[in-house]
Amino acid sequence: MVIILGKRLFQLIFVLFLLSAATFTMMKLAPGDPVRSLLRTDEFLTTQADEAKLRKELGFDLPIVVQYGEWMAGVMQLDLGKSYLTGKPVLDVMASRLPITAQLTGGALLVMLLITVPLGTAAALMPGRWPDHLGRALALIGASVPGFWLGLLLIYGFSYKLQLFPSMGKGGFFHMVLPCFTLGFSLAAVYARLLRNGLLESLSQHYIRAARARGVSERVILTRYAFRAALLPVVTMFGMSIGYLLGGAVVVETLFSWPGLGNMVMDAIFGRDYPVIQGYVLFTGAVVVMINLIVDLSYRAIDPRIRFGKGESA
Amino acid sequence: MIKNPVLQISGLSVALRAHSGSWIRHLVQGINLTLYPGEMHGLVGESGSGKSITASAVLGLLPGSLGITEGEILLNGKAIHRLPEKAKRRLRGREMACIFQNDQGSFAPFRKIGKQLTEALQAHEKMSSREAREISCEWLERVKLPAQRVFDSYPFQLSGGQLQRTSLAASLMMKPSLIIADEPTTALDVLTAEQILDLLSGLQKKTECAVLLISHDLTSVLKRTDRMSVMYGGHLMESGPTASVRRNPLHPYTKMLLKARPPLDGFMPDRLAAIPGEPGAVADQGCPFAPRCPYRKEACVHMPASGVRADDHSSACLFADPEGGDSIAAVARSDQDREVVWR
Amino acid sequence: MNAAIKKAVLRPARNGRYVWLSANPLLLIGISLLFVFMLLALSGWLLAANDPLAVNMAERLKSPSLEYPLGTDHMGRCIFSRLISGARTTLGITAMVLMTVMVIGIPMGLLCGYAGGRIDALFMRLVDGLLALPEFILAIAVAGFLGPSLMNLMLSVVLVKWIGYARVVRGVVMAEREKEYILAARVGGARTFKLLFRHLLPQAVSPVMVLAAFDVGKVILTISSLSYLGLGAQPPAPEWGAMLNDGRPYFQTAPELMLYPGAAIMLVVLAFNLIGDGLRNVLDLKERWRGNPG
Repeated sequence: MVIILGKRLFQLIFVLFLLSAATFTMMKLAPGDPVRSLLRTDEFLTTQADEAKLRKELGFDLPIVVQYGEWMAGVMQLDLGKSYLTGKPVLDVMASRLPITAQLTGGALLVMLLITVPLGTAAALMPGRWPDHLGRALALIGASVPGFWLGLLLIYGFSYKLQLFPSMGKGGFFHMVLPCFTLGFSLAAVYARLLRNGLLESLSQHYIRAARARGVSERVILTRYAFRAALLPVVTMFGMSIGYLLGGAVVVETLFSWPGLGNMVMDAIFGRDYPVIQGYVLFTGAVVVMINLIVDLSYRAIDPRIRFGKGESA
Repeated sequence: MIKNPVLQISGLSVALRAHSGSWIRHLVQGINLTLYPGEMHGLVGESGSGKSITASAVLGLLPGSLGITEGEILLNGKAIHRLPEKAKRRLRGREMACIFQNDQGSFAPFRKIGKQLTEALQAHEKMSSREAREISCEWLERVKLPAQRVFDSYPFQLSGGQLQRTSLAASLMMKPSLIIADEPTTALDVLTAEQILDLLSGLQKKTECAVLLISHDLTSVLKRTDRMSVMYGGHLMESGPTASVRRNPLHPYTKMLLKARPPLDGFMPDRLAAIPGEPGAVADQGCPFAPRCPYRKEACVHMPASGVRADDHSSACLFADPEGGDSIAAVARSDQDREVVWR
Repeated sequence: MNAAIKKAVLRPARNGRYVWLSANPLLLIGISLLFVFMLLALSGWLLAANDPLAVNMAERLKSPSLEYPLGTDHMGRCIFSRLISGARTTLGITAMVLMTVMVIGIPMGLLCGYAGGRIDALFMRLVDGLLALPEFILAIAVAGFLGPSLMNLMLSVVLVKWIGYARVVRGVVMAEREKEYILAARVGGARTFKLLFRHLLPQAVSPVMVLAAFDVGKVILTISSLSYLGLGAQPPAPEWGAMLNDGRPYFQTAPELMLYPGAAIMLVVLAFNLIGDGLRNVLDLKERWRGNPG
């Protein structure tokens, strides 16, 4: 247990180091001079002196290793620098955007659950019947449809033609419907299939038959036996899907003008706001590693064989 | 005192269903079995002879592709083969229980034994978790297991023997009147198997339940059961008191099975007699054993296999004769004849 | 002698391939769909008589006609010609990306699986690190720092995708390298190089094929998504995702501007997913690479 945790923690640090080094290098390699572009955006006449002053202020005159060291020391204290564009601390900007993105991804996961669980269960209980075919078709479409296109179609249909839901910005429940559905749909389709396969496999296990022979009710068998066994592949896949979710959030946020982290980073990219991009990349990497740590831990909760070192390890 | 039978199967047929819903093939045909309280009934046969399908039919756990086409199953006098699923579920575990062959497969690997036991108890009777725990532990002790430890263990932490004891406890704890033991010892080593069967017989005497012991291990069936039945190709070949079947097998298949068994005493022969040919498919017509039977006659292939029935000891062979009459004996007397056929 | 052996080995394989297609309607549909697209893309210069880049403001937003089979876009360009030329762009880029990925990934997998030890450990560390970074995020980072361009986008996809191939090949090599036939070949004096490419690599062909079939779809989705965001192909290049982005302001008045490129993306990805599904069934691989979107 401790070893696994330690290993994951080490991975977290290693990944963050790798990411920080990579983003820092890329930032330095980046074409164009941020100092100049900064000054240009201020629309003032700039002099050599101004430029040198700003350069010094940003620490760009120091040797690169020292710059990295100082930057890293800052990161350690959660100081990710200041946005070139607004001058606000990157951490503050991200902190204000994070809940908005969390709301979107949370909603998408909810949409996913609302589709996946009933559809996957129905398909597993009626293999070869219409819910199964529906699930199969949806899985294929879900894995093939570009998210941004689905979003556009939804906007066109539900927002422009039917005028049911708003298509722009953040607001109440109605603002969440289309973005969350857009982000959650592909996941739902794929996971419904995964759940169906897992359930079918676990329902064919001998222990299910034995439980039936003991007179345990079908409801208990489904919820406490079959679902539990089918959860393993689902949870494993979730660790891999988190990247999709975060990437998809960027697309969906742009599409629906949702003022979250994704929108922030898109603005930062087009504005060459390197500290913000850097902060975003570091944060995302950390989230992915953390989620995988949680997946590992829940794996052990789901299958005690892993906890006791029997059977296959995570 | 005449006891009422616990289980009465009469004329049971099970068939495979096609996608269209029509019956394709019979897997079990015309099975008659009667079990009385406190009786252990052995059901032997090769793999695929229909033993386990019969057991599943009784339990109401036939897979969706199979169904009962004919006959009836009475449990304590009540017809159970046509009950709705919910009513069947109430009977399972409480009125009839099952011990399966696969020791690892009786309990879900990711849930503690205790939970699975109490859950079964609570599925049938309203009781507190504490009560359920007490009952479970009491029965774990009766099967001579360290109750507390097993209760809090996961299935993979127990050995095969321990698990089979646990499933014995699980099946007995609701004091069912019928226990179906579907090859309960096949996956175990000989010594452990003997211990499990000892336990089963011991506890059976205490609870007065009937046991249907399904096995392809002829030796333990002969040793432990009161009555036995032999199945082949979905048909019942012979049925009777174990002692009588052993001493005086009526059906050629039973005779050959008994010959194929290593003797309990004396010397091991150089070669055990084997039954020639491959285990046959289920025949819809005639005797299923006919293709492999050394005493085969013209009639065997066409006539339905429902032969001599003595009161207590019956055989499906057309020519079997409890009095040691001429038909089989005549053929069997000629050793050369047999040689020819066997080759 | 040698030829006879070859014949004996090859015939069942050919025969098998024949059986596959008829036994797998999904695979068949996928391949036919792809074939149609290929034909369209290849015969682009015949069918698409119009220059996909030619702006003609007098002819903007025209409905379908003989001259413009699918009408014109907001700048009077022939939508059909742009779609066709977009197919070439998209499929070409994807093919290039996957080829690069395999050229890097497969030898890496062979090396790590065969060498084991420290090289392998180092590799796994690196993989752990890179896997924490979803390709989409990496693409954003690369586009953000090095500027949005198709080249940079391809670079970031390659940076992430090669891992999958290296891992699959590594797994196969590790499983196979202790088997008798490899030992026999080694005892027989086969050189390591020959061992790797003649004996071990063929074992990895089917899993790599399935992985690649699914990856085509994923790469197309990634590239078009990022192009839509403006981080990939830049206008006026006729890339499907960029076309969607281009037509976005007009989508209320001219929904077909977004309908066609999106449908094209979906159908091509669908074709490859069908092929992937079919191949996996045929090659009897586990559901390990079941479409994880993204």
